[in-house]
Amino acid sequence: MGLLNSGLDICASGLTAQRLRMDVIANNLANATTTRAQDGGPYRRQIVVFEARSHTSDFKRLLENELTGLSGVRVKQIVTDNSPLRQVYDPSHPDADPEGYVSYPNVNVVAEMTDMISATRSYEANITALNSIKHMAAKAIEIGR
Amino acid sequence: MIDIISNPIIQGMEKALDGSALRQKAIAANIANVDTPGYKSIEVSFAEQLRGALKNPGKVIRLRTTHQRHLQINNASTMKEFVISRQNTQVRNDGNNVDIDREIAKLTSNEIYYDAISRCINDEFNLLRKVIQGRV
Repeated sequence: MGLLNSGLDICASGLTAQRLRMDVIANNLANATTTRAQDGGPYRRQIVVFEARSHTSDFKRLLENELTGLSGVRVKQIVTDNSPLRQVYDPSHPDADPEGYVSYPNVNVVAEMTDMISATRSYEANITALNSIKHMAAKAIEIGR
Repeated sequence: MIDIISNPIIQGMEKALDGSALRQKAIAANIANVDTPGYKSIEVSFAEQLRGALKNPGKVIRLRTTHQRHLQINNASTMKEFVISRQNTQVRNDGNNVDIDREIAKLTSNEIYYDAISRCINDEFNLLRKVIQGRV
């Protein structure tokens, strides 16, 4: 039931999850106008789905969960946003359809930017918690000095 | 003879430190799950139950032993009874009820509480040291 290992582990899970979310947002922004993705069609927006990390095969973590009922977070999956693509009239574009419309990715840059700020703030909150636990562990070492 | 190291005051403060550490972990778990849809925040209500816990050691996980000389884990009492899940509130549309402002405030106050208790334990030990050395 160490404060250090499991407490920092919970914070680290939050940091990892938020960083992955940030990576996916960066990927969405980088591909905001990509008309030829890997599968041939236009790029589609990716969304990160989080879940509380309760099931684990690690014995130590399992015991810890059993003793306290606390869990960190993990990325359950990255799903594709199937909302309609953005249609832009541009007949000179090589990927334009016969009517002259180009299907651009369903990435809303403004929404991605606000999502990015949200991810940054969540990341910072996890850092705050991590620093606080670190400080407490340092205080515990000081006992008896 | 009075047991100077494991006296009830130090034991009580030990429990308080354990509870405070557990609460900090619960807050960390809430902060880690701030963006998890459907997550319900957890709380550790320790102060209210500290008195009861001191009187009654509580549930203890026992290892199954097949021989009388097998070692038993001690002090691994479950802390689960102190952990409460807050199911009845809602902050956002996705069912998550972590209020980040509240969590950060709790994080700070709990850290100060831990500092205070650890300082008290230090003072207690310093007192004992002075008594043992026989000088001020």
